[in-house]
Amino acid sequence: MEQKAAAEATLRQQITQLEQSNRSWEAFAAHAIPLMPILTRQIEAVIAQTERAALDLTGKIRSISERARRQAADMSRPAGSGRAVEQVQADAEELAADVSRIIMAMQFQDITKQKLEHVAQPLAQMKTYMESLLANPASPELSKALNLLEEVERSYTMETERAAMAHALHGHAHAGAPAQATSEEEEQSVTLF
Amino acid sequence: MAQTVLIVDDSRTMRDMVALTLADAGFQVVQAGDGDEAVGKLASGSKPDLVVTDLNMPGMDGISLIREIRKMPTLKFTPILMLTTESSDDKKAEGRAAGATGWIVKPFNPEQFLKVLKKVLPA
Repeated sequence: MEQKAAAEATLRQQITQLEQSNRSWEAFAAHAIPLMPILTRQIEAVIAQTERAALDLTGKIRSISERARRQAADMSRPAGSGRAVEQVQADAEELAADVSRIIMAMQFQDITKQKLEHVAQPLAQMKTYMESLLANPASPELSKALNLLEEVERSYTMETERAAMAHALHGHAHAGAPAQATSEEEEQSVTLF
Repeated sequence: MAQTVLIVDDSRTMRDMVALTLADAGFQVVQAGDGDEAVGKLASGSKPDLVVTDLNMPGMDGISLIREIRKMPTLKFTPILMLTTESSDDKKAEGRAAGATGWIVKPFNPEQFLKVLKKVLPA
């Protein structure tokens, strides 16, 4: 009789542990599944941005190169037979604008680095959580500790990231975000206090 | 004499882009990779005419750096511009309360950036 009671108690304990383990895995899945499209959109944004920056840089380098050729040709002509001074000045102004554009495009490295860090951080958290789950799946504390979406949102610094997250979660950009938040140029702003 | 700008950013490429823009416009540039390094340079006697700092950096962040700078009597009124990807109004308000002079969201446009500098720098 005592043996039967002990066996039943052990069984009940094992069922409780299995239920808790199941709850922990379900909680993890509930957080991880909506996170996947967010991280995917973030990576897609980085791919698009690096491509845009590369195209921008290529275009501006080509333009600078053409101007340099024109100026070299002008210098090789006899005095007075080249292009007008105004045209050369206009070329110099366009050259300065090209350099500005290059400096803007080159900043993609810092921006994409941050976006990829915001992908790497939740992946590292998921890895840590899964390791804890495997080590002690029945711990009731595990599912309480999981806060992936909130932490991802907190880590974001750019409006484009917040908009992409809202789009991935709800299919629309959140209030105040650009409707098509794909270009960091749209975010450029200066506020003087 | 050329005015000096201290640039604080953990991104080497960003520091280079800002330094390139400023050097072309005739400024002298001092660089620091984070808030702690910047405070070290300022404590050892560097007195810039303007500070441009990122917000999110390892170690001391931009807001904490501004608070530290505002404690230094010789830099109490030195203009400080935040240059960051962060664009939330809450963070801007925090920067303003700490003592920032202005807030520029990355990526910066060099021409616009220089116009802002002229506005905030003492003549």
